[in-house]
Amino acid sequence: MVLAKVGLDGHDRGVKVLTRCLREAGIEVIYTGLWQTPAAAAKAAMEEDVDVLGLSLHSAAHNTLVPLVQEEMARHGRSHVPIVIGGIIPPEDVETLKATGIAAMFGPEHSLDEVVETIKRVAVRNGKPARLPESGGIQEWFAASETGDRSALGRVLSWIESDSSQTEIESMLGSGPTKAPCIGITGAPGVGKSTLIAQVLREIRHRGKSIGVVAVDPASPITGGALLGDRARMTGIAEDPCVFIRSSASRGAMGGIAPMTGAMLRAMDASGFDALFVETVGAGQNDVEVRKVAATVVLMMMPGAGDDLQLQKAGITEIAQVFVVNKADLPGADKLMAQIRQEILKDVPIIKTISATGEGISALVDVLLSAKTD
Amino acid sequence: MATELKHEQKEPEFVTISGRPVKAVYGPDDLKEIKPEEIGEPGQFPFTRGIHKVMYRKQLWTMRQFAGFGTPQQTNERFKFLLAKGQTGLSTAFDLPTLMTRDSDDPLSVGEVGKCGVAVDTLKDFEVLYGGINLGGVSVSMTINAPAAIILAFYIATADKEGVARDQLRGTCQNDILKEFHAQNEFIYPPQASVKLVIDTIEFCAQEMPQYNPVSISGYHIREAGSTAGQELAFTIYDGITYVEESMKRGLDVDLFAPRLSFFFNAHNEFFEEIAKYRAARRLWAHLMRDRFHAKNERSLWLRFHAQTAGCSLYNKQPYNNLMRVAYQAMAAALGGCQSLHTNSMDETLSLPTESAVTLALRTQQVLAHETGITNTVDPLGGSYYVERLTKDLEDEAWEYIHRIDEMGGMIRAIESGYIRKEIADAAYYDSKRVNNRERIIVGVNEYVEEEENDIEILKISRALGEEKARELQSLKSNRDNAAVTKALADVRQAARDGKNVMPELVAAAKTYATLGELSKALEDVYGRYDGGNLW
Repeated sequence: MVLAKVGLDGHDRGVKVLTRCLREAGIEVIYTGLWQTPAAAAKAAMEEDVDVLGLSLHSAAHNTLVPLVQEEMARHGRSHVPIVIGGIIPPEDVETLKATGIAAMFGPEHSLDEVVETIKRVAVRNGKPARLPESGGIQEWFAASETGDRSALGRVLSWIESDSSQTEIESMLGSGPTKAPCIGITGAPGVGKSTLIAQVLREIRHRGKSIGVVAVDPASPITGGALLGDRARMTGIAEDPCVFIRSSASRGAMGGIAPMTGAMLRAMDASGFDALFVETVGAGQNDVEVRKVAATVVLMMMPGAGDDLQLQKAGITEIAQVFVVNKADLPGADKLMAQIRQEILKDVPIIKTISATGEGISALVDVLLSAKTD
Repeated sequence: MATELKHEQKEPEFVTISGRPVKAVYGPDDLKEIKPEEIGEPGQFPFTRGIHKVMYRKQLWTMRQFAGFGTPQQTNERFKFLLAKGQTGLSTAFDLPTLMTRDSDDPLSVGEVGKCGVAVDTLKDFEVLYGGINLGGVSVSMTINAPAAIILAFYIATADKEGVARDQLRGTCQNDILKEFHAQNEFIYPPQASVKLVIDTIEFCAQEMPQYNPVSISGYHIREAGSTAGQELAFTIYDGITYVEESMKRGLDVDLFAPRLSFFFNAHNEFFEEIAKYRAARRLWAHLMRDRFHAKNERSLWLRFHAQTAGCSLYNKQPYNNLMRVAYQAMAAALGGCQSLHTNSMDETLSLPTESAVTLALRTQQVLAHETGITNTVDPLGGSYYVERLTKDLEDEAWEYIHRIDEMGGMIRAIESGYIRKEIADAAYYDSKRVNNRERIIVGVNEYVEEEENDIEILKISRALGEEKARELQSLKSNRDNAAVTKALADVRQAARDGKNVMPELVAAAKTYATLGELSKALEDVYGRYDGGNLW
């Protein structure tokens, strides 16, 4: 499901607690972050092809904002996807909203168990995932996605993730490299991958190109639930109609990506994007799997994070075609650059960036878009 | 029979709402390590027992109800209503677009104009908002953070136009940006630039508005976001440390501005722990100001605070129960020695308060002040084994956090690393789980539940208001001297670029009727915009 905070209010205590509880209950939760417009919330629900869309509202603007979200959902062919609302909704508005088809509303008086159970219940319709439309099938969606129908692409990606076999996927998508340049971004947690990707996306959009992104986050090996927060780091760019972001839980796979990441990128490619990105879980040097799906792999590091030690080990440094030293305003950046030069025999580009100010982003994009797809 | 069963299931562990274990009895042994001079006398260092010798015998706390909704005209009427009912200070709530520096005609403001507070765009709105109220005679507080410097400039410009001398202005601007990064999420510019703006206002007020409190260092929102009492205390005090450090870096004499720093704490349900929290806060601050910052003026050592009862403790099930919660919380604030108090209205989980609900909330304070006798003696719980022990424990917990944040390189670094948010989110999660598992009982919510019809009256804000406000703004924009506005905005940008105090330029720009959104954009052009850092 997608949980979105719609409107200008910043009360995120409830939504944060709830995301954790839903994850514990085995649900994959994509959190959009603060200050979402109705259009952005619905776009996220479409791209992520959710079974449930959750809106958190504390600003008393629900009577204006909720109908706008519903309109947008209809525009994406997702009127059937249940919407639940959390926040402060006066009783009389509860009735009005219910009449418009809102599946459930939760306030501080509802226990977490009740909320989680209700969400699980509405996520299933007639024994099937609530995301599925009444008619249509994978062939139809795939054909539509090939003509650039993003809403259909969302459904194709879900099919790849859950309902398909490897053979079926290969017969539909093939197994070759993508037409568009496919760039994998990896690096240890905390190095600033999502923020940097957001900056890079902005720059690429500035150059008039469309982009597809698969953002991989870890899933809990125990409950299967996951908290997918990469999207929240991309506010401001996620709303752009020429940017398509799909979050994906690693579902127990090691190596930084999910089993179906490659197929998802190929489906995006078939739908027609100028560039494709995949953001790995960020386990550092174990993220070698990304090489199999991305033509260009960018390894991000930052000064003072012990990355210099990692450099000496075989693995990730050997599969990267581009190195980024992020947070280059911190002390030790030049030292780290020198170490990379020393350890890596290949003549690879090393680019210094400061996500906070956007320094180095343009140079990085130049390299990424011109990189050989070897 | 059913009740007995439920009691048997109750966890045998006794903890406060913050998860602090509580013993069955406290006695002299619990006070062994606490020296009498660490407690001190009222009005004496370290001010554990209060900043004044006789406290409420001389002057009651200020009863200050937060108010604001709809148009400036509507809020002006509510202000006059509250003053007529005996309220002694004004407190202004702004709507979300204003808090987020969005004008009423901004696309992101749709549906939110005037909803949770009053909508203001320009000096024109301020002239109406405080029209007919003598700004030299009443203390006015304003709850505004990211755009505080701009809003304060509007306020100063209003006073200037009405001929009220700046040194006569009394009141408080919340202006505590650090807690926005911790908890409330109403930030615009990156942390460092945001703090710079706060220091601009501290400096400006120290020079021109000696009776005005430029910042109210707030734990309230940290607690509302789900922190423990100890975290609320520690993070708030550390935010205070940060403002003092940054002001001193600018070359300001600590004794020039520190006496005007004020604090704002939550008054939650855990009666004794709350009282201990306020006592520990005073002691911590006095020590910090004396020992870390070498303040000489006794007033610099005083921690003066406003308290508000906990919004997060109220429920819309059996809403009349909220009256009792608020009354106990208010009593804790008074026993803890607050300087001013807001009592929440019982209907606030549903909407902004109606006039009758807000009157009841004010009456709650008046009954407490005049009928219970708790104001007759200073710090009546001083010396209590339990309260003194709790005070010490909270103080120790806060010191631990302070040292940890020191080691991280200060509050801005701690914010950027996501540490503070993570601590608060963990505490919120722990508490939500306890409520969910009924280890913490909430009357009418997870125990003593009844089927009920909700019959309380709710305040309505007209939906047409936003459109009307946007139209008014459009008309103002086409009738003002736009060349003057452009020039004033350029001056603001230049001052920001030069690293100067931007207050004089903001006041000048306010007088050209530049809008809040335009002024904020000018600052954003220089400082950039912050995306919020790590989530949790």
